[in-house]
Amino acid sequence: MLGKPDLPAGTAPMATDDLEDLIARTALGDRAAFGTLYDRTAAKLLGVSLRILSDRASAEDVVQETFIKVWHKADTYVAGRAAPMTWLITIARNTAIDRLRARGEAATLDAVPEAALRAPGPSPEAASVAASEARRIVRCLDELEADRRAAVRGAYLMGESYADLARRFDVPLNTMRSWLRRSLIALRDCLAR
Amino acid sequence: MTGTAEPSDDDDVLAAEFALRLLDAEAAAAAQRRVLSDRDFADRVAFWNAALAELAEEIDPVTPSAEMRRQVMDRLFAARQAAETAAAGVSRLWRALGIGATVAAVALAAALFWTPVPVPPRLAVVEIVSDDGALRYLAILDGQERIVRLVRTDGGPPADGSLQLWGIAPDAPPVSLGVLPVDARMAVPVPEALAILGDGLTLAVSREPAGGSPTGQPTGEVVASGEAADL
Repeated sequence: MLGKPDLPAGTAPMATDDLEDLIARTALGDRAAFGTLYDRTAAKLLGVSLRILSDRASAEDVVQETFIKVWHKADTYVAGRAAPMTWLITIARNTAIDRLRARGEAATLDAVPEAALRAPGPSPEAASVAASEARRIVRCLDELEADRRAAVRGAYLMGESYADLARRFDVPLNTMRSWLRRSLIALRDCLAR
Repeated sequence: MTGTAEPSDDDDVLAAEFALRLLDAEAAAAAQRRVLSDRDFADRVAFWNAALAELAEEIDPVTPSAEMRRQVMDRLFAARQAAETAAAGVSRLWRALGIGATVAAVALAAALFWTPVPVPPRLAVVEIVSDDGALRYLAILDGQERIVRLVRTDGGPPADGSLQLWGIAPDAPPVSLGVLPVDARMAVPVPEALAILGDGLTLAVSREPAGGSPTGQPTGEVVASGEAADL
């Protein structure tokens, strides 16, 4: 599990306990607690959605849907099984990827290569390395070859599918699958050490 | 899978692919069923979700517009507030006319029935019990949001296989409401195919192969059932 939740830059530290409490109160129908939960986490979730969807309007829609799900599903959150921020990010990311995949299918019908629409942009990898050395997953990713590392990061952070990744790295789909699967096993072994 | 991998490798890779959303729709649905019925697999998925979520730490927050907050609150609470306000208004009217509470309640129900005032949430409750009483669930049916909330009040998850929940309206085939989770609680959206969510509805739990009925209809013994009653 995560040691601590994500902290939006420039805000006061926010304890995992506080978020768990807000989710528990949301489950009881406490609208004020739900509002506070929104205020503390919406910006982070918008950042996550925006990275996957690239356009602001779709990303905002996704965050709206995320909070509607949070309101209805708060009673299924089990404290201790997942850190609250992990739970929230997972819901937002899944909602964003559903939208990305739906858009991808539409783009395929129009024969627009979807990968071409989403330029890689400035390497967030380079920017984040210094700040994130302490994080386990980053240390373990560093043990992978550079392109394998980039594939795992693309799958998680940008929601790239096997087909997207195969195109980006210009390898056959099955090659990409076995790359990634081997990378995941190596990652797990490193994380478990 | 890579043919040489150990079973735990296969499960871990599958869990990671599920967490990353790399599976096609069919494989993802099968993995989702396993999350609900297989505690070990659910733990593997939770492990990956937690580990990968650390990657999101590098993502900077983006301040949403105030409009977005308003829209979330409106979508969740505006309709309900309107219904509550309308109901309270009718109730106040009857009180103002000096009519007793019981009469007012009956009249209020009639007023809600006959006028286009938004109807407050319709709730029903079901106790799903096995013949020997060893397995018990309590379910709340929310007809407005079309959600069934369920808590196991006695008994535990099955040692093997899965338990699956069904909604059965009179003269209609059972509609699956999903595989019951290992956890004691769940909330599931109700498929459109289930026409009623209240008096007349039976909820039943059947024993099925791990992951749920392969046919879309109950295939195993019904281990518990109960009939809905409107609240």
